[in-house]
Amino acid sequence: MTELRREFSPTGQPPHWAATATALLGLGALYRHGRGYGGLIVAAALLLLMYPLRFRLSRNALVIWPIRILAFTVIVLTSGSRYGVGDSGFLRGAWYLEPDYVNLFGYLCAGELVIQCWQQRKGSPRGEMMILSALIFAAATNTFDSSIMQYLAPLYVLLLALSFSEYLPPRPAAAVEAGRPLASAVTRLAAFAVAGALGLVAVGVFNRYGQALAAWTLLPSPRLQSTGISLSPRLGESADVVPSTVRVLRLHYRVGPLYLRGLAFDTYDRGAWGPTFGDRNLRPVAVEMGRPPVADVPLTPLRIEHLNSDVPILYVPLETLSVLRPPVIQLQWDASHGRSLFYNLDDGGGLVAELLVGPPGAQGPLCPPPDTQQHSRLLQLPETLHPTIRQLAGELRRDHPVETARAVAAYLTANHGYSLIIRPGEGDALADFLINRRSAHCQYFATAATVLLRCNGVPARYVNGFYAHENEGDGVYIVRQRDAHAWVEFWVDGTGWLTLDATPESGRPDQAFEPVGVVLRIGEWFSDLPDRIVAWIKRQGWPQVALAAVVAAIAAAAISAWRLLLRRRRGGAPIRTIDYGFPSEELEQLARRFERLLRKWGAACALNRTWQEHLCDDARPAMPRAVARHAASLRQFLMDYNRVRFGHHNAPEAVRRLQEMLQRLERGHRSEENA
Amino acid sequence: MNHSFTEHLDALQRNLASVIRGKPQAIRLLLLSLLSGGHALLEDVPGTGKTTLAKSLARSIDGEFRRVQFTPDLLPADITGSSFYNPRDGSFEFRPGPVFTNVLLADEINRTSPRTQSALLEVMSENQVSIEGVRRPLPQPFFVIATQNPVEFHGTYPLPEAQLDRFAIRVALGYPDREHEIEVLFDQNQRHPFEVLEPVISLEAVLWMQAQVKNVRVDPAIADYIVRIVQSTRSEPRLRLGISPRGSLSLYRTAQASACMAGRDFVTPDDVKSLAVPVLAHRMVLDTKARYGGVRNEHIIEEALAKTAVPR
Repeated sequence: MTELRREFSPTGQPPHWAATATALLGLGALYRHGRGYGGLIVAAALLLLMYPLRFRLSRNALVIWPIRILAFTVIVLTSGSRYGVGDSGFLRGAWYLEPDYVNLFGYLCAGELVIQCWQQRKGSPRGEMMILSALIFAAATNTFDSSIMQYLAPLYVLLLALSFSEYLPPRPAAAVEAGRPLASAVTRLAAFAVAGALGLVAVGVFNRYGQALAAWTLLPSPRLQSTGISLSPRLGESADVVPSTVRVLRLHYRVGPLYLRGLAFDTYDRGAWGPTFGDRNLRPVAVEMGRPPVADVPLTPLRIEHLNSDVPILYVPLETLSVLRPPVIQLQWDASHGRSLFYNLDDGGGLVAELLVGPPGAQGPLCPPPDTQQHSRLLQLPETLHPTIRQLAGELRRDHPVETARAVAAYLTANHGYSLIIRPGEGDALADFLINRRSAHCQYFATAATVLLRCNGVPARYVNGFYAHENEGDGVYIVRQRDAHAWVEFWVDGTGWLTLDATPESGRPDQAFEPVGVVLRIGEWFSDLPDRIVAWIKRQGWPQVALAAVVAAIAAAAISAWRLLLRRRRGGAPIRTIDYGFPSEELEQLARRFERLLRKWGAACALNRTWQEHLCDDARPAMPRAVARHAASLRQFLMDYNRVRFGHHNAPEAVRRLQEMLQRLERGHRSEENA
Repeated sequence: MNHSFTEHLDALQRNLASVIRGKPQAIRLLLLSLLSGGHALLEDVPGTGKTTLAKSLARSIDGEFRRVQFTPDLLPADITGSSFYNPRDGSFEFRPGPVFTNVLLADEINRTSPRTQSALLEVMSENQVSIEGVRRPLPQPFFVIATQNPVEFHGTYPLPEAQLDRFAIRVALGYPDREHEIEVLFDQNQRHPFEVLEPVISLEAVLWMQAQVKNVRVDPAIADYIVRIVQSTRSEPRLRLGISPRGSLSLYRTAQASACMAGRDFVTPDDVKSLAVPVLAHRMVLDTKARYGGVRNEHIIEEALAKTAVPR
């Protein structure tokens, strides 16, 4: 196979396997996604076809990079968001690309390749292949809305890391072939592990700091990472956000799964819930929220860390009795619409909260009785409500509001299935859902339950937030974007506010999705590593840290020594300087000056190469421009130098002539620098 | 450098190139071997022009040429010569073998037994034959060109290490490329170009050129470089046998010849580097593990060059 690839390669060398693999992976990702990206696939296929076509790409052609940069800039600046929050894929959010723009990019790339083929200039295509495949992959991940990207992304980064060996100086062929099989295998395994770890760290860093990077590099105002919570729920064709495994919250809580409420909505009209986030009037949190509860109920501490947040909503259980941290002056709430809590970032507060939570049914500061105005809003029904819904609600009426709520939930879960995609017919989406007994997602169930309760005179509101269920052990829960959920809160006189989840169990976040995979968990572990290290250092204190540093240094030295030993045994030991001596001090100084000049030109000569073969051999790799410009002078200088140095034709005038030649070369370098 | 050296050299190279197409590097190495006073081992598959090259060289220098076809039943005396009884005067008379010549072509040397191959040892290193206690010097110049097929071929014996060490250079001819092979076809349409080949220099000129080579200056740093390369092979764990001082000397001499051929009267490190593989590679013996592990002698020399700093 290698022979075949070499045969088809324009440079006589097969493209690096990892470079090929990354490009193929990019293509695979596009293929998996399926529709709408023909241009890009054509471009990538053309790129791979460069090898059999024996065309050579130009490394430094002035036309290539402007076109490429222009193409990518156009795409980034004009990119939109399919889901309103733009949050799928590896690079997520800020990098989302519309199919049309991806296609445009593909056509531009194809055009660029045609130009390069036309030029047929010398150069290695491999570097460009890597970069272009990276762009292809970035585009693919941004247009791909499945969690499979979570697995492809680390693999891609791993391959990318491996392909960097392309740029290392080649080892002598002998060293490669003569390597000891066992040592070679161990080294390769170690290299593979290191590259894998680097890849995972890269994924982690990108997960964590991707937006900061995007902000710093390309986009002037990047969107914050979405939490997956809709700020203006609407009964549409599909869920408002794409289920993603991006982590949103980390909880420290020792009791069990929790409903963490974010926003409550009490106004419903034609499939849309209000008020929207912008219409809310946020006020400082009342003092009672920060006061320790006096009720004689068991209290459970809950610590919430926000890992990603586009809106500073503090997701808390309805049963929250007190907020210990941040101070209440750093919190706000929307008092008239269900007391949703918000961080007040202007006051310098962080995104970590510590609460005290009561048992289920506990009524705290988040559960005040609705006033008259609120009460009427909580019973408001759309004017165009279908009579069949009213009739259905009547059938579900029971003597007590709690029993009515149970009946509503039982009816909905028994008669409707769960689906993230829904294609409603004509007319009101809710009526279509209820009458035609369609399968739908939690927004439909919550809306239907709210409306049915209201029809029976039970004040109810629509609430969205997260269902925290993923226990990492040791009392730590992880909440992911896909754990976003919607449910109902209803008011019962004499009891207070209660939670009702009318979504079938199969649609609850803990049932609807497969558990996250091992690869993702490892990636997350690496992404948390910097924080863990910082926390560990803070915990340990400096003496222990210094001790650990010494141990790490010793380990690094041992590994280096082992590698050195291995290289020596394989004949790849570093070249030692040998003092062969010079016939005269003048000549020695001349040689040193010449080496310095080569270094300044960026053409330093390896110890095992003669200057002649380094500078004058036609088969040498590409040299800096300065060397090409002074080729004739260099040739003459080396000829004369060898004559003096090895032929001992070292008459004073010969040495002087050499010095003059070298001075001319040095002057040429200085004037070029100044120019 | 004396003007006539270059003229002689150009004439020789032109003459040989008219017969052996597209192989300037092989011709250069063969001449290097001749001028350095060594012997050459031509190694390649049958039919690539090894014998023709040897014959052409002999004719070009106007020397006596003998060819010995090495076969499994060849005896040492068939090469060096032997005494036979003359019944007329009742005495033993020495009848010289084919080694008493200027250019000896030992064709397919590895088809005979190691015992017969060893008969060439004294001949090649001391330019003389000792038979029945009498030393008989060989005519000068004396140049052995041995050809051998790759060892994997049927009916071949590996050459003894001691004999391999006596070849200054090993040259692989290789197949000609397409254009040159077409030229070969047309060249031999009527008759072989070798048939019309004329001598271009005399034997005396060859001896003079060999003397000139010895006058080329070698800086102590260059000699140090040569020895470092050679010594690094002696501590090489993959080798059963490293390179002997005879190898250092060969590299030294051929580097001088290379400088001479380039029109210089001094050796540069480039001369040494360019000749290290053809001069040294065939002298080493790999251990079994390395041989079966795919290591080749050339790799060991390339590694030695790669890890040795050059004098500047």
